[in-house]
Order: sequence, then C-alpha cells, then structure tokens
Amino acid sequence: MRIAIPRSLLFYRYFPFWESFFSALGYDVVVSKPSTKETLDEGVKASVPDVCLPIKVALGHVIELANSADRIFLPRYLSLEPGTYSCPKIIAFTDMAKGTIENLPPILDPVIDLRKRGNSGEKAFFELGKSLGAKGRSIREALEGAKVSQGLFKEELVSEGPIHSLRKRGMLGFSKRGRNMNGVGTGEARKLTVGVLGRPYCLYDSVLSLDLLERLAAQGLSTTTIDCFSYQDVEREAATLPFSLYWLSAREIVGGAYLWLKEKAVDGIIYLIPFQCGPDALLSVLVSGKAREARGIPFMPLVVDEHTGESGIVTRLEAFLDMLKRRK
Amino acid sequence: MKIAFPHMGTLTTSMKSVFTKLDQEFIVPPPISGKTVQLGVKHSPELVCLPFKITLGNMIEALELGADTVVTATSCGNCRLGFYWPAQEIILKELGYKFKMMAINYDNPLGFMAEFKKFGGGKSWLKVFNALLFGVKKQRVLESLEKEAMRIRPLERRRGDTDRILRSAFERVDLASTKKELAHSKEASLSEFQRIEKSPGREPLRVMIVGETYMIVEPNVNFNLMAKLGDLGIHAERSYWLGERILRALRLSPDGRRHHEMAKTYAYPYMRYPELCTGALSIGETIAAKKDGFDGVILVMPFTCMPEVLSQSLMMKVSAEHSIPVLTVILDEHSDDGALLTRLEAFRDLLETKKRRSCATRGYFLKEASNLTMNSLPLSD
Repeated sequence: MRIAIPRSLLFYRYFPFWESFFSALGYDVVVSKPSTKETLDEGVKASVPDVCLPIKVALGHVIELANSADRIFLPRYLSLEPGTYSCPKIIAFTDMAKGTIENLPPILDPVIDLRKRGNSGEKAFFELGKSLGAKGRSIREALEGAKVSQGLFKEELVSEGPIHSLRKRGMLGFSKRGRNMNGVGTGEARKLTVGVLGRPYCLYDSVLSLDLLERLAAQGLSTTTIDCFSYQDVEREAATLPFSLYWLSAREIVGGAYLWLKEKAVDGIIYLIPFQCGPDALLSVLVSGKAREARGIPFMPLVVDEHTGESGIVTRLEAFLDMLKRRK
Repeated sequence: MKIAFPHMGTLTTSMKSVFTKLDQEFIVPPPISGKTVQLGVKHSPELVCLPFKITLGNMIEALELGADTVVTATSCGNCRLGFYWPAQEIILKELGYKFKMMAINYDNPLGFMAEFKKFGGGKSWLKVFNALLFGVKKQRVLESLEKEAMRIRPLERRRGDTDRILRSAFERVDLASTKKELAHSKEASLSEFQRIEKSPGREPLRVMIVGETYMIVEPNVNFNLMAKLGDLGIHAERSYWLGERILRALRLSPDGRRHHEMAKTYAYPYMRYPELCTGALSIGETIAAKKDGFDGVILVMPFTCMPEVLSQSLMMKVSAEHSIPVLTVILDEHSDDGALLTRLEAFRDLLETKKRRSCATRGYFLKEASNLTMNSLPLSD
C-alpha cells in the first residue's frame, strides 16, 4: 500500500519520523514533488481567495497526490511543544482538504496534542498503526526507530545547517535542487550575515520563498535561519517577554529574532511573509521594533503572494544588500 | 491615572459603569468615525485585521485627549488578539506617546478580577466584584434592548422609530447607577418599544448573524448592519451576545451551554477543535440556525481574519448540504455602505424567493392531502 505525504506545512519538521514509521510497517511512502507554479495554480483553484498562500500551495500538493496513492497522510497536530499550539489553519487543514478537494483517497489523520508536558503523541501513532492492521509489537518497534531518526534529524539541523541536512534527506522543496546553495545556513565565515526569518515550510519551498535563500547565496552572502537555534534556547528567550507567544511558529520567529539581535549574530534581517499570513503581520511589528532598538539593525519584511514577480524581489533584495554593504 | 479603552459596541457603556463604580478617572475616546479609521490604518501594518486598526485609532484619539494609561483586552486564544497589545504599544511609543499599556487577559475569570483590582486605588475584593457584577448586569440589559430593537425594527410602520427609542434607551441605561435604576430603565425602555406603531400582518424573514465578534458587535464598523437588515424587513438575530457569553463562561447559563455544545456537535463533520479553531463555531451556529428555522445566515468577518477564513472555506459545502443560504460579508477600511446595502438587498430577494417557493410547495401538498382545489402553484424548489 502506498501512503502519500504532501511536501508542505509540517513535512519540513516531521518527515523523518513519518517516513521511518511507515516504512518500518512495510508501506511505501510517496512524497509529492517540490512545488511548482502548477502546484500553486491547482491549489488556488481549490481554495477560497482569502486563505493564506502556504495553505493554497499545500492544497495543490494534496491534489497532486489524490490520484496516485491509496492513503493520504494529513495528521492533525494540535500542538507541537508544551504550552503552545499550532496555527488554526494548520489544525484545520485536514478539514479544508476534505471539504474542498473531490475524490480524495481515505485520509489518515491521527490527532497529536503535545500541549501537556510528557505527552509524546505516540499513542496516536500506535492507534494509527492498529487501524492499518499492524501488530502491537511491530508498531512499538517502528515507533522506536521513528523517534531515533527524528532525533538525528533535529541534531543535524543545528549542527550541519538546515539546507545541507534537508538536501541529504531529499526533503528540500526546491525544484532546481538549490545548485548555488553550498554553505547556506552553515554560518561559514563571510563578510555579511543575513538572518532569514520565516516558517520552514516557506523558506525551503521554492515557490513560497521565490528561491530567496539561493538568491542570497548567489550574492556571496552567508545566511542563517532560526533552525540554527535549539528549541530550548528559543523557549528561554520567549519566557523573558511580557507577552505570551502562544503559537509555536510565533515563538520561534520572535524568540529566534530576539536572540539574533541580542547576540549581534546578524547584519540584517529579512522576514519572508506569505500573503494573508495572520500572525506575521503583527510579528513583523514586534521584530522591527526590537531591531530598531538594537542599534538599528536593518529589517526588511518581504511579502510574497501568488502574483509576486521575480524582478520585484530581485530589486528589493539588491537595494537591501547595498544598504547592508554600505553600513559595514 | 487617566485610563482610556477602545470601543466595542455596547461594552463601552458597561466599562464606563465599572470604572465609575471603582472611582477611576477615565476618558472615553470619541465615537468611531472616518478619522478614527484613517488614523488606525495609517499607523498599522497593512495586512492586519480591521479591529486592530480601529482600536489603534481609538487609542490615538484618547491619548490626544490626555489619557496616560491604555486598557485593552487580550487573550491567548485562537486569533491574533494576543499579539494586539505588544504591537500597539510599540507603534504608539514610536509615535511619541508617553503612556502605560495595561492588557487585561479574560481567559480566566479570577485573573480577570485581579486585573481590575489594580484600578481605583486599593478597593476591596468585594467592591471590585460588585462593580464587575453591575457591569455584567448592565451589559445584559443593553443587549436585551438591542435584541428587542432587532425584533421590532422590521415591523415598525414609520422608519426610524425603533432607532430613536433605542438611542434614548441606551442613554437611560447609561445613567443608571444602582440595581433599582437599572431595572427601572429596562422596564421603561421595553414598554416604549411596545408602544411603537407596527404594520399588521408582516412576517419578516429571519436571518442569523455569525462570525467574528468585534465586527458583529460594533455598529460603527459594520455599517450598522443590524439596523440595515431591520430596515430591509429582516428580523436579524446574533449568535454572539457578550453578556450571555460571560454567563456561559461562569457556568450560569445552562441553556447557553447546551446550545454551545449542540453547535460544536453540528460542526464536527466539517471542522473540529472549536477551542483552537473558532471558525468551527460559525459552522455549527449556521447549522443550528437552519434547525431553528432561520431563512438565511450572514457570516461577518474582517479581511484577513484568521479563524473565520476557515469557516468561510467550508461554508459552500455546509450551505449546500443543509440547504441554507449563506452570505459572506468581509469588511475592511475600503468597504463602503452602498456596496454592502446592495448585497444585502440581493440576499433578501434570494431568501424571499426561496421562502415563497417552499411555502408554495408545502401548500401544494396540503391541497393534495385535503383534496381541495387551488390555483396552480409553482412546484420547483
């Protein structure tokens, strides 16, 4: 049986776990191809106009998989870390896909809620395995293996840099496979370092990021993303703030950006905002306010929507980089 | 300490009474106007929702009038509200205003009371509790009057009677400072409503309003939606009443609770986890409205609203499967009065046609049953 996983949203966070779990149980895992313009167009057709860009792309991925698999895996992650929860659109994505795409194969949608400490979500996967007809012992073994590969992946993200480790595992969402991206995210010593803020499912997807990381690398810049911090560091930083960052992505973005500014680790920050992303509109105010406080580190929000043209992005990037060089 | 708080429909009046009871000096910002919207939009990020922009406008206008503390609501819920105050604080401080921001989290009732204890210079817990209780009572009275106005407006013979009486009723309730006066003002206002001259034999369409609460509640932002519907001959009902919502949170409203649970159950096949995706509730309320015999549903939300976009994406399916017409109204600073009115009129016509047809069909079956002769009626639905 072929289990399909769309290359979108939480794929960039949990794929090693899912793949190892399903392969250990003897299923073929199919992943959709990196996003292209067609993926986006299909997704736009299926969704209401006001939903955010990553969801449109994710719907496109599900449409691509609808005819080629026996099951589609659309987990409902209510929360990824204790004390936080997921963006409502990620929680409801399974429902949206069901409601808007016709002829979907049966959906596997385990509910994983890690809001309480000590809850690991393994029970949900255990029940999922049971419902697929696997034996208790083999599910337990599959879960152990999955946890190990997820742990390795997390370590690798911090030690080797996200681009390198994602590429090694075939998880990068770049259609051109990121030719110019050697050294991106590893913090190699170069003159200027740009911190690129954004959610993993935007940054590592070539349609949603318009190859932002690759473009920066081609300019000879060193880039870093918030994946270079461990979650513990981010959480510690977030706990010092007077307001609660109750969404995980918000916590990572604001916590990570504040850490960069505190450690003076970056010369400038670019914030990749997909159009209609709810939290980003306000988080960019929080980050830009802090950046101005920190001896005026340049900050540029970059909003991307389905009509954004390449030349517009190039012009803005060039202007921003010129400013960084002049300041140095 | 001179505090100011943003407007939110009738809540402004109840908040005034709470702060008066606590002997706290306060400034009510000028009513929301074009200038408020302009100010808010000018200083807000582009993609944020309308409530953020308008409350920011309120704050600027209040600070201009000399407020030194801004009180605003917050919640770690399922929308951006929790990020409103830190962002608004940064924006206002960068504009050069010197003030203190106080965010009141309403997620937990006891914590909520503790927040209010900070006002009025060391009043006892009992005093604070009584002030809040009176505020809730006032809110309930204001909302019951609003509800009555929504019921009577489509029946009035002379347009504007209801609005005139509602305005004076609100003023009367605003002045009430004891329980007795409050009860009296309610009685007097309700009896005035009774005296409004009504057109006989009218059976208005019934429409349920669901969606984002701020947009439902604030008439200056939703282009006075309730009055517009009433003038079009529609009896509008709201799925959200703040007073009712507070009672439900305190477990004092078994009926409200039952209704809430039912709505969650109805929504379940379409969307789950209403505590985390409030959009699910709008779906549930829509289906509940159909079961309660409403003719249509209007989904109101600001542009880029996070939770309600979810319900919007499934509304087509819900509407088709439960055969209930749904009109989605998305408002932002570029919306205008005339465009909204045109859409509401078209929606009314659609509902009327649908109702006429289904009545006709029902009439036909009655005729068959009782074997009477009747004129030919259209059968298609």
